[in-house]
Amino acid sequence: MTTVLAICVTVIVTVSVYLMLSRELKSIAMGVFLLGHGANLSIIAMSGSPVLPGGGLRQPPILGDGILVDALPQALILTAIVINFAVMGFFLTLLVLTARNTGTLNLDELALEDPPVASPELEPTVDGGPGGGVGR
Amino acid sequence: MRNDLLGLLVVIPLATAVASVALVRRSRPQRVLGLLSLGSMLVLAVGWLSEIRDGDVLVSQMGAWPAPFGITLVFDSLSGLLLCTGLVVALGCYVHSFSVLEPETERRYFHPLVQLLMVGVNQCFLTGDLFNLFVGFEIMLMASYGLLVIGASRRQMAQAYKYLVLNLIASTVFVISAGLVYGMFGTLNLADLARIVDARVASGEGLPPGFVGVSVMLLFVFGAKGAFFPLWFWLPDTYPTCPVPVAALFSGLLTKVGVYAVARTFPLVFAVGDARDVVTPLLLASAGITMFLGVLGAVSQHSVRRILAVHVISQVGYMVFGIALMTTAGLAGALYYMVQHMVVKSSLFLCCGVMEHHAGSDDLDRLGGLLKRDRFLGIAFFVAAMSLVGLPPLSGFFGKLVLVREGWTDHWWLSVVALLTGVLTLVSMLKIWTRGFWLAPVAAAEPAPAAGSGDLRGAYIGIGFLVAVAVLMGLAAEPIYDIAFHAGEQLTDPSAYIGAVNPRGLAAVPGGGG
Amino acid sequence: MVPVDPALVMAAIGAPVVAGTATLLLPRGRTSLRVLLATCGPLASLLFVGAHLRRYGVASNEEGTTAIAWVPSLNLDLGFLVDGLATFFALLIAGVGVLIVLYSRAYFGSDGPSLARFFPALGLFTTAMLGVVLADHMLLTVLFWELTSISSFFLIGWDRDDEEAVKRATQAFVTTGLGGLSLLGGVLLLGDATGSWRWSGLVTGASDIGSGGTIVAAFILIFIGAASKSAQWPFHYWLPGAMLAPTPVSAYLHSATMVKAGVFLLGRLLPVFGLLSLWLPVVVAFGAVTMLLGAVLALQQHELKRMFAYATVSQLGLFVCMYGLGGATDGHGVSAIDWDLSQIASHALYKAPLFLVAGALAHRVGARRMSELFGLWRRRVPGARLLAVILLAAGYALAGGPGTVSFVAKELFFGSVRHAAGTRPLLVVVAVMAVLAAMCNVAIAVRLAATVFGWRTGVGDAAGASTHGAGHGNDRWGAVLWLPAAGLVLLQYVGGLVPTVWNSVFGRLEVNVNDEAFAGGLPWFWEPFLHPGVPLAMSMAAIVLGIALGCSALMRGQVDDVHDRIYPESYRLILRYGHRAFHRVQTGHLRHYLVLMFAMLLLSISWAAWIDPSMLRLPDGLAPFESLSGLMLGAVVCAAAIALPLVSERVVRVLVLGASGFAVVGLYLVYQAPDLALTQLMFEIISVILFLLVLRLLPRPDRRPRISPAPRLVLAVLVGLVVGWMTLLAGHAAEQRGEEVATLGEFFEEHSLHGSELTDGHGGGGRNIVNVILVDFRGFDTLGEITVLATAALGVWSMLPGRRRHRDGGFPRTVPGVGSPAGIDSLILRTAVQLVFPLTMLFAVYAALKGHDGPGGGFIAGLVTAVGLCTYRMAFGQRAFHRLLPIHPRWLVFVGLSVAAGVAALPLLLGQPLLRSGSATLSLGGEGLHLVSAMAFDLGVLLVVVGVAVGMIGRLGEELNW
Repeated sequence: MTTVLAICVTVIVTVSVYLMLSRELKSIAMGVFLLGHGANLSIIAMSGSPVLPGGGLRQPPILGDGILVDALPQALILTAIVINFAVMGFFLTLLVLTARNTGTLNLDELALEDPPVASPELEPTVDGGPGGGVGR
Repeated sequence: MRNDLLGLLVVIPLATAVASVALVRRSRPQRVLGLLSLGSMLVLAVGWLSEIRDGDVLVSQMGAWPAPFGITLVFDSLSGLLLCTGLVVALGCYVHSFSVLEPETERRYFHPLVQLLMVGVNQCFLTGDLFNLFVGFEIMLMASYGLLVIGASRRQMAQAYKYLVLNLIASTVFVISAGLVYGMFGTLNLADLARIVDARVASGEGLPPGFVGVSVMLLFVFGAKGAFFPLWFWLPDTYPTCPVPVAALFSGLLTKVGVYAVARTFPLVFAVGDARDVVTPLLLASAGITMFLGVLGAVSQHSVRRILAVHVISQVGYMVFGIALMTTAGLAGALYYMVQHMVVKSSLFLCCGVMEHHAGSDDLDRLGGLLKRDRFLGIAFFVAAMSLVGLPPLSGFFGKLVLVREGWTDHWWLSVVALLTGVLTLVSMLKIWTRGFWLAPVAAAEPAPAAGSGDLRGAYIGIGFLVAVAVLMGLAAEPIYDIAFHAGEQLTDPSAYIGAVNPRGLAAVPGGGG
Repeated sequence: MVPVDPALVMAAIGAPVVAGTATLLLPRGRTSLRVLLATCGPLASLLFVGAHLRRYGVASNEEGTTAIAWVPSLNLDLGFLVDGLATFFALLIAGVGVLIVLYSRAYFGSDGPSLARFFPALGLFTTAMLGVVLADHMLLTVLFWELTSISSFFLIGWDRDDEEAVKRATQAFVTTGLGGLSLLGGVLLLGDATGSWRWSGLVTGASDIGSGGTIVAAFILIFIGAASKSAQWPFHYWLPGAMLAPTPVSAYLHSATMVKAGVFLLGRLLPVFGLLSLWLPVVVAFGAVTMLLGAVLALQQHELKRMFAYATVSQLGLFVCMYGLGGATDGHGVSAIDWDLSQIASHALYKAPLFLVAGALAHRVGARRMSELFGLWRRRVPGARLLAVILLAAGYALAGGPGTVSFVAKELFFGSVRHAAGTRPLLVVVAVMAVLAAMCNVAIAVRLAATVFGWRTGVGDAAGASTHGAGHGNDRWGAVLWLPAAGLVLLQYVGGLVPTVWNSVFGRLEVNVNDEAFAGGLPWFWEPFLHPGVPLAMSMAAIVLGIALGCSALMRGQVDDVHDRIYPESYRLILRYGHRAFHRVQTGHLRHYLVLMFAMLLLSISWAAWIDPSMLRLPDGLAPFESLSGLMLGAVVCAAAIALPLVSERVVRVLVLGASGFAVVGLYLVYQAPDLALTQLMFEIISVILFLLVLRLLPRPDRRPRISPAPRLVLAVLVGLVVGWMTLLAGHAAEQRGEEVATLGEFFEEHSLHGSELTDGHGGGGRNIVNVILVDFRGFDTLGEITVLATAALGVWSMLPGRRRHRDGGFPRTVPGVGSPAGIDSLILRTAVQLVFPLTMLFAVYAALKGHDGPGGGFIAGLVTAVGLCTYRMAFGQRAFHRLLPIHPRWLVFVGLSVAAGVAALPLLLGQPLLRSGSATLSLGGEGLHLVSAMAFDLGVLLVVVGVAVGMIGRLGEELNW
């Protein structure tokens, strides 16, 4: 079972990274969103396989009879999901405002915004010449 | 030593934030509340710090569940010193913001967001639990996202997405690694992890396969938050865009939390056994490149804010240098350097704010002749700048002193890099000083925009406060370095830390019957 | 001997800066008072040191004072060493300092503001300088050393609007700063190698510091520091550059004191490093080169101050050379160095006057260049002749003519060269260089004289002798313009003609007295002639040749020093390449950043695998086919994920994204995680809504060629493999985990309902372990998590401040054509919602109440409610929704967060840690009451979730006016 999850994680992470390397900020958002799923699946794998060696299944983590699955990863994932939700909400709103302010979500165009300026000292005219000059 | 009031450092700012959400339309009461909260926390933290001067550790078990099963808050020399400094910085920047922030921006949840930022920062410094550290990071980052785009100007929006995306990726990797750690050891409590890891290394059982992978992933995460090479990209692009008090706050707090996380978790857990051979070279290389490439970038910038922003990176390099040495004195030096740098760098940013207020721009060509116009600002800036360069008797000198001295023995080349970096730092600071304060402006400056309320009282108070603290840190280097040294000892020999958190000692039931 | 009180020494050091800053308190006008006050500073130090000399005599250089603790753990304390060397320099600094203060009054005239600025800086410098020479702790020396750099920066960059002056100031600061850091490094090495952090301690242990690599490195670093400060080649360029400073500064810093700091340091180090085989060659070589270079360049300067500056460089080279020779001893252990202090003093006694007169001439005659002095003697300018006399007297001393101290000094130097050459023939070269340097000095003196008297061989001619307007008219302070210079020169001749006086002052300070010829002190100036030797021959040769050169036409053109380019060029190089290097990585392009980051991750992981290959081994006992349902769902997840980048239509993409999410829900079910499944379900619905909303607000993507997928794919696959592999390893480890320690999960399972003795009966009191973990065991996480939610909502509202609603609750249409405030007008949807909405609310309530024992809890309830509300809003539009929920969602967040935080903080009042859950706290109701506390927390969570979800979606909806 862990193997299956591992494969799913591999695929999901691959796809999300692929999306993140695209040129559109929207695709990047989707990539980030997907990456969240990948993380959650990877965490759920930490509760071990739900299938008992004997063949039966573990029980959901609600006290009763039978062997229960480890509950902590589930709690962690719940936290992660909610945080993910918050972040996505913020991120999507940011996209809206970025688009409004710059008129584009294309990375190549966004990269042109406020580029680092080379300082004029780089022109050979400044600072050149021998020192000295007239003293007092 | 048990002290359940530690929770206050998280609850106070949280409550203040909630209250100011209700008061969001009205500035004055929010300001008063904010000052009260920061001030009271500072008093508490300093009090506890003086309590643990001789290396005690204060702990509080959340929900009274015995560690490692609950979440533990730990207040030791490392976190204590950083907490106090962080609060000092926050206080200075907060007061400064009163006079430079536009009222409209201020009404956009500025005050609650600052408080929430402090919630996150304090939680990161206090928590003794890996996953809770993640949560703390998220609070801090979420608040920082909000502050970064506060005012929602075009410049901000054009850069903010980088910060967001890069940090989101880092956070996700953090969650995954936390999960992996739980999978490998069945626990998340740092002290417990340290105990297990040491035991397994000692017993020769060895660490589970893939442990080194996890520690590298965590290094990646903290490196991205702390802006190490080559993960710093979000910093130089975003800092110059946001309002000055926010930039000052960030430069004082955000990256330092990342560095703190490395200093806390790696000597304790993730740089033990094979992992040390993996992590140390990475850290050393990163430190050298971060220091030097950072300062090269800083020297070549042409606006005050960019110079300062890029310098943040360069000095993060010093801290990584100290941590990478993994020796008591090295860690102590890194901590001392970090503490003084938080104060100095923030005060420089605040100075930059007033410079912009005077000249209407932070471009070196438009600035000029400020010394005639504002002597106080000039003195404050020069003191802070020289302290950043590390000239005696200012605080920066002692930090650099310890690091260089500690590095000489094993990694002399890093010490040389550190010294050269110092020279270039001097060059860049003199660049600002001569162009900004001495020479007349090259290009005619347009009249200053009416940024914030006209009177700069708050701004001056903030700057004066931080600079005074910085100078004090130089004169009172001994006691501060003493605490830092305790922290170094606790990191290199975590037995005291583990014992105080008491994983699986479990003899005394924390909390007890109500 | 009586122990010296360090406080006394500190007073001596601190006096000048105190007095200097005190002048700031005086009102603008009171110039004379200002000057007197400023004079008190160095005067006080002078008296202190003098008194100290009388009381204690000269400490032998093993006896440092007791230290006042400052930073003991860093070996930096306030301890001082008052031996002959230190005392001599202290006297020199303080003495000249007094004269300079007075002179500056005449120089700046009654220009109040300048003086007000000048005295504090000067005081700081004097203090720093005294500190350098008197400090015993090495790091204290470094400290004051850097202070001299800072203060000199302010003094050189005096004229703040003059771009050139400011540049030179920066150049000097950076150059000496570089040296300072090198000195710091060296001192740290030395201190750690020898374990002694005090000069005094070192001198005693000098014999056994050995000559290991560390020691050699330390020596080289420290020597770099000294050389940069004392303007040795190749660092000498900063000194002539610094001549843009006001003349008092040039006279004080750049001839008498600061540039001698390096020489002083060499004097300190001689007993320490003198025995190193490297000492003599290195030090002598640099000294000799500088000596000759400086002299030659000085001869070819036409601007007075620059000429004297280069002469100073040459002289400094000579001193360095002198201390270098100190390392040489003949068979009988007699060092070659002799009466070094007198030689240094003699230099100060003619070089300072030269500068002072140069300044005075600039004032009175307006002459800054040689040519403007032409025929000065015959000019009708008040005081011109007087100044000319002083100038020539000092010039004669510069030439080292008989009858001056410097004549004897030169003899001494030649003597020590000869002495050293006795054992090292190679040093003959140095002897020749020394003669040549002396020759140039003589030539300079000759030309000065010729020019002043307007002889044919002088520089320039009557035409060049244009008299600029005299500077400030001389008020009653005018005399101090020439008095200090005159006084200093006088000492030259007194010492030269009546050596007994000189010996009585300096004899007791001298440490290195070897040559039996001079054992009794400096000789009467005719004695060398009585028993002539090699030294006399050398100086005679220098004089004769010098006169010839001076009169000849050789070397009269003005030359530029190539070294002047060192600093600007390297500065520009650093800037250019720094900029390139930095922006090679900092491109401002997110995609580059991402690629670099992922590449970094991959590299470090593979590095880790290289160190510990065990992580590459495939764990055994993998059972992929355990559960078919799991396998199928996994396949669905993968398929949906892979489909995502393939579809291009935006809306379809969102739906595919949702589909993959729902498949994940299935996987959670397989993993027996009902709560997760529910949460994920709701979360998926809400995020699909969110995405669809936002997509309508975003510009359509432009159809431009996509970036080539291949490299992206490779990187992506690699990253994916890494994460998946780590998951596999850790998941496997989780299954194989040794049972020796209870994992957190097991503890939670045991304590979820009832406590154990471990927690003395304090249990979670719930059957749904996940929920108990969330609200109790790890409630602190949950608190933080709803804080994140609230923060995100605040961020959204801060970015998109809502538009003011009209009183009638109507909404202005800002995005015309898009949707309508009335919502989506579809009968089916509305009826459906009308049916479903109450049910969802009901379910939410159930989940909230049941949460502690069955699937459910605050999050799920909150999300369900949010979904319900959002669909309602979709169906019936804003107005109806506003009627349903008449408050800003902010208030939901407010209430929820305050409830949760309140419940969490309540136990603090009872002396309990945060989040200590109810039952044990208030045991009156037991179970019943326990539920209250946990459920209250859960309620808070619920409210926050609803508020945030509804708030965000509502806000974005308003943007669409939908």
